[in-house]
Amino acid sequence: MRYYYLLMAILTYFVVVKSLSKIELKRLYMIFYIFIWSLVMYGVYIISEPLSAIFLFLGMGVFIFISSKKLYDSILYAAVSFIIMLIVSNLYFSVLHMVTNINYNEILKHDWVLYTIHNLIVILLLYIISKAIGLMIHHRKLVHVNLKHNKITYLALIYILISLIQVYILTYFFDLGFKINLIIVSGSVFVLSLLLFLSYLIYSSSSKEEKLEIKQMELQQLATYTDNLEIIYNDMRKMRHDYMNVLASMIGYMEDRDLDALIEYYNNHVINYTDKMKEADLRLGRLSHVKQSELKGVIALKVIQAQERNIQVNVDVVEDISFPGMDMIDLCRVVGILLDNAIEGAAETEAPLLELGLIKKENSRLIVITNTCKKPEVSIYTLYKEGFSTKGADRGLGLSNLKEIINKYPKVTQETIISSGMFKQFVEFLL
Amino acid sequence: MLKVLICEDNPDYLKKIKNEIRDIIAFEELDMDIVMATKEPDEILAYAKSHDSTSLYFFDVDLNRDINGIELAEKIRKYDARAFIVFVTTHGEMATLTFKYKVEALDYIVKEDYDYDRIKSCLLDAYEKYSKKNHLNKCFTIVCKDKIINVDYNKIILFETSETTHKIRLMAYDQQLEFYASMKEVEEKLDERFIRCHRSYIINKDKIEAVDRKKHTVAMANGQACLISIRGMKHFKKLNHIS
Repeated sequence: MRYYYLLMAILTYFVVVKSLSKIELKRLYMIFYIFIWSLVMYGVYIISEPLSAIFLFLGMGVFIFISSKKLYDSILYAAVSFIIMLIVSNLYFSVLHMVTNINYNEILKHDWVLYTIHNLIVILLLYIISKAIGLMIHHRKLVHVNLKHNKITYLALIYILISLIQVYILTYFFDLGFKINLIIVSGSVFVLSLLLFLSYLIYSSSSKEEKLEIKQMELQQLATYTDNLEIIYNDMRKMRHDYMNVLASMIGYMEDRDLDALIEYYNNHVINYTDKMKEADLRLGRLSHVKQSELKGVIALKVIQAQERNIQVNVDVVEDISFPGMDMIDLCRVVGILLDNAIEGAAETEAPLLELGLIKKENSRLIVITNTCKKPEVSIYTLYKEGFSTKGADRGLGLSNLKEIINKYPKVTQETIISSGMFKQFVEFLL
Repeated sequence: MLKVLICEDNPDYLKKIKNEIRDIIAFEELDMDIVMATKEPDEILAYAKSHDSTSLYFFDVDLNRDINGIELAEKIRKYDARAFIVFVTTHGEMATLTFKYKVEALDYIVKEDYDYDRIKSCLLDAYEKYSKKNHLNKCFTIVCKDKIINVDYNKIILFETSETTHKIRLMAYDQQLEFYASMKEVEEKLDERFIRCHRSYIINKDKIEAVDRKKHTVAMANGQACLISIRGMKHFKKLNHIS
């Protein structure tokens, strides 16, 4: 009978943790773990009920840690879930007590059917509440809220642990009289609201940080872009100087009327310069047509990264262009993902080539990215599936993210073609 | 007969390319003729306006006029929708993606590495396409605002509605694309090998790998699993795929 109660408590706890967090709990492992865990708790329970509650908390903390390998997360989720669980069940039974004037705590200890019914109601309540809190925490899928380990998050953790102890003491060391119930109810509401406020604080501070980081990244990209423009400018100046010298020496041959020598000189020297000049322009020079500086920054950065990996890059923008109708961060992410993929794909080939075209059409704007690629072993559908990557786990988020972003915009369509050794991506923005 | 028009601002180069093209036409015995070789884009436009036929155009990118070759090509497309356009360009003006996707140019010729074979292949390519113009393949064709989609029926695996309304996604093994239409419009364009197995899916029967009757799904050749509605299930009674 007691063992059954314990299992119910563990089950309830799992429901809360699972709906609150996004942590993947290992299934097979879980059954074995619960078995050992509940046996230990059963032993402790016989000695003292409050002590078993501590073991319940510790057991969950350890389990989340095993699953996620993150200390902060495991303490946080175990503690918050524990608080929510205690408060909600306390509230439920207190309210029930107040309404019906019967102390269920005593009755339930002996009637397992009634206990199960009430516990199921509590589980349902818990599920709804923790799901709601969980959704709030993970609200913006867009920007992945990654809790930074700064002062405020540690303070929050300490506060959560203190409230855990407080709730714990309230629950187990004050016997439940009617008046004390009132205190518990009001206290719980207070704690709960503070908890909500706190999670909001963490959330907003971390999203602010995120925005700041994005801004900083943009600045960084623009800086790389201007640095490279400077290098190109200097190259051009040097080349112009050399070019004048080359032309001057041609005059020598002309004065001698030595046509053969002139032709040879032209083929050996002049043509080389033309090639060099062509390359400088085909890369970053044309980006001046891009009228959205953030986008320009992303492209410049990726082009430079590609060149560092010895990929031949052609940038094809012949007129001033901008891409309306998409949030700037999304636009940069789309182009960033596409170019990252193109760089990875091209780098695997013998003569790596990456071409980027930003094209103005009558009723639309088009981004074209093509790269040389090895023949893929799977269909395009598989490439776009979440978690798929030719590079192993954790890296396959690119294309599925891309799909997710583009799906948000009804006026943006996407096309992918693999043909004759080229991987071609098109993103079209309807005006 | 396929008419050839050339627009190039440098008179020497104009003469040179005109002669080359004339030689190739004569040598290959093509049913083609150079009807205009000029440095004035307006003359080309006027010709296209007054003649209702498909022609082959060679345009210099930099025309030294108020419009450049790319803009000229864009205007030509309005009068001669199937026009074959070849750009003549220097390395510095090279914009291969723009040529191809802005005005659907057939090809381009680079002045510096000028070569006879490239011009020849442009002419032959245009000639072949021109001669075949009435021969229609079994293709799914849909016209969107700025593009025309053409995909061979044999390659299409399925159509699905996008998560966003009004977008339809076409899936082939090595191609996927989105366009604006309704499933009904798409259905009407297709032949009998396609079945509407669900509100959100039209699939190619030839591309079915397996049917799972219990789960009401069908696995396609690209690894995708599509839902089958209860009404859609009737299509599978005749098929012999067993999961």
